[in-house]
Amino acid sequence: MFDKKCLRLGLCTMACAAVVSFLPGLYLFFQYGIIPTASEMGSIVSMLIASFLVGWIVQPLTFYPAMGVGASCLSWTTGNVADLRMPAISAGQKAAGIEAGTPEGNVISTMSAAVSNFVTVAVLTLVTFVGSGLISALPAAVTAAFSYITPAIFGAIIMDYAMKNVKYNLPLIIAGVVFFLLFKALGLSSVWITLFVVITGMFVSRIMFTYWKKKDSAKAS
Amino acid sequence: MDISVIQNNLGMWICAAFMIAIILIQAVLYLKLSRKEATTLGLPAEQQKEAMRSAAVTAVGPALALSIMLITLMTTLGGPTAWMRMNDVGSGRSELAIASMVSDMVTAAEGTPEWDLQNFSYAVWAQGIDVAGWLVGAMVTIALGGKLTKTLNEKFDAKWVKLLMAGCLVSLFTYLLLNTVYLKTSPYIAAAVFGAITMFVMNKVFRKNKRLQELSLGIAIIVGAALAQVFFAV
Repeated sequence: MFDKKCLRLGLCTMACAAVVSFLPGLYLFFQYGIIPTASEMGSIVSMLIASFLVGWIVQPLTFYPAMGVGASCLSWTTGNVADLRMPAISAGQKAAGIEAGTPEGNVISTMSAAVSNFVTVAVLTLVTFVGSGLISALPAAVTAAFSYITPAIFGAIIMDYAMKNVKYNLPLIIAGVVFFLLFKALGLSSVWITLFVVITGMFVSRIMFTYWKKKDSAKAS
Repeated sequence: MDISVIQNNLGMWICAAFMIAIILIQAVLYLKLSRKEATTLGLPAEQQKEAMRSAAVTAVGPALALSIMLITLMTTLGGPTAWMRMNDVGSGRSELAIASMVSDMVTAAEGTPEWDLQNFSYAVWAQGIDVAGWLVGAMVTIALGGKLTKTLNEKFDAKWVKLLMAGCLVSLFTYLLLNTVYLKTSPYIAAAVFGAITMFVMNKVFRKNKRLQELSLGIAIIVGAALAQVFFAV
């Protein structure tokens, strides 16, 4: 029921966002009379489809199982899914002591994604209107450190998962490393590597599930 | 007319404000919905607050990292477009890439005000289509994904489905970590290692301190990035 409500709300708000996305283009047309011709529009669309279509479909699919409906809708409206929404969701679930993939986990991930959207809008708005001078005035060493935020997040999260549930998560992490290197060696593009690492992870978690179940029942008998 | 005047005029700000308004309204509605559901599921208000605080703190660091890209976009596309496109879906890097991809199509004589305006209009349209592409792609996928999870839950052991979902999360972060450090220079690798060590220490030493646990990811990000800059950046 919660998922259904989330989906309905998501479809409405995302459709609105998709329409609003064309407002600047329309404004320039009505104010200055300039707009790409139909054939130019066609080449813009085909250029975008060629470069991004796979990402538009495969990326939301890849992140979906980890986020659930609500957080997916929120995250794909505002973007920066991997390096901002996912860490915020992971932190929210950790603080609440709730696991991903449960109904409670989905509620917390929705809540966390919504809060992270507020934070990004607030920070970016502040920088747009008052802070651009401030950021430019920061010493170069500080702004350079900003680019190391992403690897630091992922290193911390992987450590957290490994510590939380060694039995399941460590084999998953090791398998992830192996498959990542394998797919890289095969020369796949990053969108596909992401998807395939997640899919192979599903098989690994199935194997671990049966393995530990057998082991536990052997112990019990 | 100078292109930067057009890029920064009131009409453009109003267009951008619509997008920001939708993002905020969406977040408010989801927050209400999820808080209500959390209460129905019996999650205490305190636990919900802890989750929200932790998510907010964790989001600050990455949001600041975005502001560098925001400033770059402001200088090339003007304030309103940068504000709008950094807030909506699509990375800052791809917004820049799209803007430069369309300049090949512009027919007006290069260097003239017409060229500037045409170039800007094409960029704005291409960004609009890109954002709509993301949204429509996600809407379709999420709708299908919802059906899929429902079938999974009906057909399989609930415990296994939960493990499967959690497993996807771990695999995904494994990929994301590898992708940010693979063939990268030492500060990136150092940041990941320092981030991991900080998290390890926080989890071991401050296991009992709830407030610090809540902030652990936010702290690990700052410590990791700062140490990488101090010890490894050239």
